[in-house]
Amino acid sequence: MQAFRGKAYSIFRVVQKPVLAGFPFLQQLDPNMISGLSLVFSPIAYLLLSERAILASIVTIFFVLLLDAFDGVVARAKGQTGSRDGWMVDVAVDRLSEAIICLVLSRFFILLTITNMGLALLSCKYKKHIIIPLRQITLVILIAYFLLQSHPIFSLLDQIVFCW
Amino acid sequence: MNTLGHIFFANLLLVFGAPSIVSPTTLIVTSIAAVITDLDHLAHLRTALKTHRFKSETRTMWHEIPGLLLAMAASVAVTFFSASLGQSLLIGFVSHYFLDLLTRPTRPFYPLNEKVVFLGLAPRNLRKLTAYDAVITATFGVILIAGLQG
Repeated sequence: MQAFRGKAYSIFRVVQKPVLAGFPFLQQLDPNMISGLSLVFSPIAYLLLSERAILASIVTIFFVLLLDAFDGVVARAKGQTGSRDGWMVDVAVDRLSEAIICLVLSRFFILLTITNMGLALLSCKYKKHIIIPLRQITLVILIAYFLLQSHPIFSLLDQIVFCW
Repeated sequence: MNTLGHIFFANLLLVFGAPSIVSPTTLIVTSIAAVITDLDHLAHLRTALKTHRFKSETRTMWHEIPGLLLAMAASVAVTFFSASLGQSLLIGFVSHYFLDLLTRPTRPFYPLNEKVVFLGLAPRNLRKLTAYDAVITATFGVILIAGLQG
């Protein structure tokens, strides 16, 4: 997972340079506020999932993840990279965002959310970032759920995602 | 967020997110779960009456991620006896910390770390914060009443 994160960040760094050059106003934004915005959109994903509006919830969760990545871009633009305070805001917002989204999903997802909160606390204590990318996993599962609606595997997927 | 705001928001999530389990019992359980976390403020009530606010230092571990983790684990245990009650508890507990993180300075990793986190989505000035809280609470209340009637 760490290797994947490293690769993802290096790709991100290549992309962010032209983004920052093209949009200098990014340096005026507050990364914490962007994290907060990503949190504001999480209950929308929860409500859409409860209505079984799968495509709309996929788009919303993708937008939440995009905002989550964007706060990192802005933090880097402001030279606030690698700060422990930024990490804490990011991790706290991510865990709450997951918790809200997973409220409507099955007990399996709730247990994963609780596990992730435990991992966040351990990460804070031992200063190592060990987290399950739960929203990303949820997004992939929801895409599969959306695409496989006429497939025999769908009922199993429905059990995993929504049944208590 | 104020007590009424917590109750309204938690019940909003219940009414619109889990309409199949809405009943007087689940509404009451969600309301209790949404405000019970604030009991740790009571020890600081005298100071709060003078300063007109509860500071982030008045939040114990039960009011932060460690407390939320334990509350969620307990709620999941309850779901094995009654799924609707467990779900109501989950919604109440999660919504409380969600609103607090959005609108108040919190210490998410307390007692492991005392760093105060504030997302900047609510004003810090007391008068503006009171007005902000009143507008948000009234909005939640109106939507909840509409949801309960519809």
